[in-house]
Amino acid sequence: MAVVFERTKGLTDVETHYCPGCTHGIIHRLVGEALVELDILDKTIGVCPVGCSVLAYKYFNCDMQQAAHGRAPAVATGIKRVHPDKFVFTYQGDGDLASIGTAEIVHAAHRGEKISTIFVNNAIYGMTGGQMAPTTLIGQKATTAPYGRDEATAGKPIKISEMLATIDGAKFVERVSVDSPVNIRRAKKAIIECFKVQLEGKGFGIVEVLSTCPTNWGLTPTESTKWLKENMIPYYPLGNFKRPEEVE
Amino acid sequence: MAPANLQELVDLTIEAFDKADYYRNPVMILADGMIGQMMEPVVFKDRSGVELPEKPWATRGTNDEREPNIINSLYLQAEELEEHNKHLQAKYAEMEKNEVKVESFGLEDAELVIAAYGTTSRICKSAIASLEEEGYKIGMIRPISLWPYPYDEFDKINDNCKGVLTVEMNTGQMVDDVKIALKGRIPDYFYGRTGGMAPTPEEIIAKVKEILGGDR
Repeated sequence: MAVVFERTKGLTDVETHYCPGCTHGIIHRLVGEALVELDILDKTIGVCPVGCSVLAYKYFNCDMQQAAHGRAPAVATGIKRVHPDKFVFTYQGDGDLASIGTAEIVHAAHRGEKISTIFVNNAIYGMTGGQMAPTTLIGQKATTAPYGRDEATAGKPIKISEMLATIDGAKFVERVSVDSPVNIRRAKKAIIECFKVQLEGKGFGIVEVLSTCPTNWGLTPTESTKWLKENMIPYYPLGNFKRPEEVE
Repeated sequence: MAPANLQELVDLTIEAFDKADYYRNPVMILADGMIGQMMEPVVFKDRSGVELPEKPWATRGTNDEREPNIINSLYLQAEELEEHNKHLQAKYAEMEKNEVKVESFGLEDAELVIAAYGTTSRICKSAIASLEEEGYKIGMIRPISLWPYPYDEFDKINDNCKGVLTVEMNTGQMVDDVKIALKGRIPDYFYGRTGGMAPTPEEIIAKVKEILGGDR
C-alpha cells in the first residue's frame, strides 16, 4: 500500500496539550513540514513564546528555546547573530507578539533581523483564560470584556501585518488562515516562502496565521472555523503585504 | 559583586561573564552611582588562557548528530520541578563554597570594625586612617561578593571588639547579613545616607566616636 500521508519528521511523536479543535496543531504541522521540505530541520533553532504554545519546544523536532513573554524576537536575534548559518524561527501568539512583545517584534523587523516569525492570531488570550487581546474584534466577548470589546475604551483591533509591512527591514509579510483546506495549503506555501527569505539572507519575514480558539470563544470546532471565516477574515484580510521581488 | 573602584569594576565585570558562563547563572555587578559616574584610569588585563566549559546543551542545530536540545525554565510536573530545584540548590551551594570574595584588615585587635562595600568602603577607609591617627584601632570587612556573603570573615573579629558598624548608602540592606554573621557575639550599629548622598569621613568618625564613647 502506498503511503499518502504521514506525520512529518519536523514534529516529535507525542500528544499535544492543545484543546480539541484548536488550530495550533495544524500550524505546527505546516511549520514542521516546511522545515523538512526545505531540508533545514537539523540546522533549525526555534523560539517559543509564552502562551498556549509555550510547550511547542516539546513538539518541534529541532533545537528549541523558551523565551520570556513577548521576547522571542530578541532571543531569536541573539541566536541568529551567533549562528548566522542556522535557521531561526519564532512561534508566537497574539497575546505574546501583539501585546507585551510589540516592541520586540517591531524592532526585530526594523533591524531587518534575518529571522522568521510565525504569528498565530486567534483574537484572544488562550492560555490565561480568554481575556481580551489587542487583536480581539469589536463586540467580541472576552472574560475581561463581558459586554464585548468596546472601541471607545479599547480601540480597534491591531493589524500587525499591515503595521509591520510599513517597516523597511520586514521583507516578507503575509496573512493566511487555517480555516479550510485551501487556506491551509496557502498557509503552507506562505510559510515556505517566508522561510526562504531568511535562507536567502534577505531579512525579516512574518506569516500571520488566523487561528481558532474554540474553548475561549465558547464555540464548537466547526462553529469556530465558521466564526473565523465570517468575522476575522473580513477585518484581517488575507494575502501578501510584502515580498522581496526576487522571491516573487 | 560590589566593586569599590573602576579597576575592580573592570576586573569583576570580566570575571562576572566567565562565572556566569561557568555556572549558567546570572552575575550582577552592584555599581553604585559614584562608581557609575566616576572616571579613573584602568588596565584591561590579558585574558588569554581562560578556559570556559563545553556547552553540549546549547541550541546550535542538531546537525543530525544528536537529539534536539531544549532550553527552558518551565517544569510543569511537581516531581520534575523539585528535581530542578535540588539541582539549583546544589549549584548555589557550590557558589557559596567557591565564590566568596572579601577584603579585611585589623580584625584581631580592632576595638571596632566597619563593614562597608562599594564607594562607601573607600570613604570608610579615609575615616579609619584619620581615626588611627587619633589612636583608635578600627578594623574593616569589605564584602566584594554580596552573595555569596563572607559570613565566616566576621568570625575573625576578636571577642573584645565593641561593635561592628555597617555603613551604606541606603537604609541598611546589609545589616541583617552582618547580624547573621555576628551571631549576637558583638553589638552591631548602622550609619547610612540615602538619595545619592554619600556619607562623609567626618560623619563616620563621629558615629564611631559615639559608639566608643566620645573623644580621646
